[in-house]
Amino acid sequence: MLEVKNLVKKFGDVEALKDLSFSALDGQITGLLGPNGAGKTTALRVLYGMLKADDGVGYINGIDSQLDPIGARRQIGIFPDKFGLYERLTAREQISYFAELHGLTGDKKDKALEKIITKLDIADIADRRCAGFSQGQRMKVVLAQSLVHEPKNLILDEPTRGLDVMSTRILRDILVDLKAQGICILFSSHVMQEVAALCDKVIVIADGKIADEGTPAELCERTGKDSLEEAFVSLIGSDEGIAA
Amino acid sequence: MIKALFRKEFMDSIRDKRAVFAALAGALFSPLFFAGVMTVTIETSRSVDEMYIHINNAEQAPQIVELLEREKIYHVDTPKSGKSIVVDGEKQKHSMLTLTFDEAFQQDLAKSKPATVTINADYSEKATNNNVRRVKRVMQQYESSLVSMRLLARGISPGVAQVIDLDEQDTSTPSSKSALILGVLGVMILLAVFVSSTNVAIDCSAGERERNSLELLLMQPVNTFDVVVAKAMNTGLFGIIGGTLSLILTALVIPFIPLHKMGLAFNFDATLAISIWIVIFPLALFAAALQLTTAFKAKSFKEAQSYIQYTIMVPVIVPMALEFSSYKHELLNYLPIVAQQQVISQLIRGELTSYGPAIGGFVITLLATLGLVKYMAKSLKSEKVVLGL
Repeated sequence: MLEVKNLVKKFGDVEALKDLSFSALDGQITGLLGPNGAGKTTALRVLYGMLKADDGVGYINGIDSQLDPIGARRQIGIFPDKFGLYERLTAREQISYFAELHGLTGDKKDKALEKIITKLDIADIADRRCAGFSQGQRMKVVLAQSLVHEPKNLILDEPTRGLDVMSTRILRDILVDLKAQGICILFSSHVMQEVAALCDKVIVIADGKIADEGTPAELCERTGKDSLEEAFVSLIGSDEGIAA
Repeated sequence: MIKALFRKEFMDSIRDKRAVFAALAGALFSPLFFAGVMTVTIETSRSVDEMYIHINNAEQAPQIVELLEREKIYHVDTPKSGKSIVVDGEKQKHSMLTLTFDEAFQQDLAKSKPATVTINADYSEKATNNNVRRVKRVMQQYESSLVSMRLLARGISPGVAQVIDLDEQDTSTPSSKSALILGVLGVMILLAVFVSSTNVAIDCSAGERERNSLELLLMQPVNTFDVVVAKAMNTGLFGIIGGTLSLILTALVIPFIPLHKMGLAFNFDATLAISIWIVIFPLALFAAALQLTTAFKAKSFKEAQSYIQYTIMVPVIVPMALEFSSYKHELLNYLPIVAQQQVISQLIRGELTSYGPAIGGFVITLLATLGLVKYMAKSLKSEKVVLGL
C-alpha cells in the first residue's frame, strides 16, 4: 500500500508538485499518467524519501518515508527510469548486491537469487558482465534486482521506455503475475496503451496536480470520450508530451 | 551492510583497468622519478670537483699548474671532436677551456712586469662561466701570494695590502646535505598515496552519478554514512596499495642511487619502510575522503577530474608553503599531511626524537577523515549532490 498526501515540492521558483495526493492499493496496478515534466518522477522520489517534500507526507505500508526513509524503502522494490547498472559486475553479482542491501545473506540470499533468476529466465546471462547487455536484458536484470527481496510494493518509473515489443510483453506478463500475488504495483508512464492495458486505476497528473483518477472506463465515462487517450487530452487540456 | 557495500566497491574498482593502472603508475612513478633526479643531481654536482682543461706552455708556470691540480683542475689535451675524454679508464667531460701562458711568462715574472695568461673558452655556454671562475680564482690566489712575497722582499708588511679579513665558514655536513635530498623522498611517498586513489575516487562518486547508479543505490534501504565509509575504505585501499608499492620500489632503487659519491650513507631498511607505512596509513584514508568530497561536489565526471588534480598538488604544496613561510607554530605539526611529511622526513634522517606529533598526527588525521566522511554522508542526503543539480 502506497500513499501520498498533500505533497508540495519546489525547485527554486518552480513548483513541481502542488498539493498532490493519491494512493495505490495492494493487488492492484496503479498507473501514474502524465505528460513529460508533470511531476511523476518527482512524486516517486519524494515517496521513497530521496527528495524532501516542502509539505505533505508519503507512506509506504504505513511508514512515513520522510521520517524513516530506510524503513520505508525496505518495503519496496524500485525499478528506476534510468537503469544505472554496474557495468563491470555480472548480472548475478548485481542482483546479489541488491539482495544484500535489503538484508538477505547466506543461504537465504542464494535461494532468493536462484528463484528470481529462474523466474525471469536470465540464467544464460547471469554470469556475464552487464556491459554489452541489450536493453531487454538490462530491463530483466533491473527487474530482478528490484524483486529479489520479494517486496510487497513495486514502483516502476517509465518501465517500458526504450524496450522493444517482446521485452514490453514480458514485463507486462510479470506485472500481471505479481498483481495476482497481491503485490501493490505503482508505475508511472506517459504511454497510453500500456496504461489502458494494464492498470486497474489511473491517476492523471498534470502540472504537479491530480487532474482526475479512476479506472480507464471511469475516466472515459466522465469525460464523455471513447478512448483513454481522448479522455486524457480532455483532462489535461493538451496532447503535448503524450505517446499513443 | 558496510561489508556488502565495500565488497561491491572493491570488485567494481579492481575490474576497472584504468583505475588499477593509474594506481600502479602513481606508485611506480614517484620512486623512479626520485631515483632519476637524484642520480642526475649527484652526477652533475660531483663533476664540479674534477675539471679538465688544456694548458699551453705549462713549463712557464709549474707552480700555477700545481696550484690548479690542488684545486682538481687537470691538464688534458682538448679532444679532436666532441667533449668526452678518457681519464684513468673512466669517461669524463672536457671543459673545452684553454689556458695559455705567454712564451715570456717566466721572464716577465722575474722582471716584475705583468705576465700574460690567456683564457680561451666559449663564454656563451652556461657551464663555462663557472669553469672560468674556478680557473680565475686559482690565478688570483697565486697572484696575491706573489704580491705578498714581493712586498715582503721590499720590507713592507703584506698586511698593508689586506684591508678585510673575510672568514667564510661552511657549516654544511654530509647529513644536512642528505636531509635536503631525502626530504624530497618523503614528499614523493606522500604523492604516491594521493595519485593512486584519484581514479577510484572519481569513478565511484561522480562516475557512478553519471552512470545513474548512485541514485539507484541511495533509493535502497542504506545509510548514506555506510555508503560513504565503504567508498572511502575502497578508495583509501588503493592509496595504501599505491603507497606500499612505492615504498617497496623505493627500498629497491635506493641502493642504485650513487649517494656514496656525495659522502652520504642511507639505509632504507625494512624497519624504516614499515614505520613509514604506519605513518601513511591514516593519510591514505584522509586522501580518499578529501578526493571523494571533491569529486562528489563536482557536477560531472569531467569536472571532477579537473578539481581532483588540485588535491594531488596538496601534498607537494603544503610542505613547500610551510618551508617558505616564516609562520611556524607547534600545532601545525599535528595537521594532516604536514604531520606525515614531518614525521617521514624525520624518520628518514633518523632524527625522530618525539612520538608526540607522530601519534597526534595519526589521530588527528583519522578524526579529520571522519569529519569529511560525515560531511559527505550528510551531503548525499541533498538532492543537489545526488542528482548533480
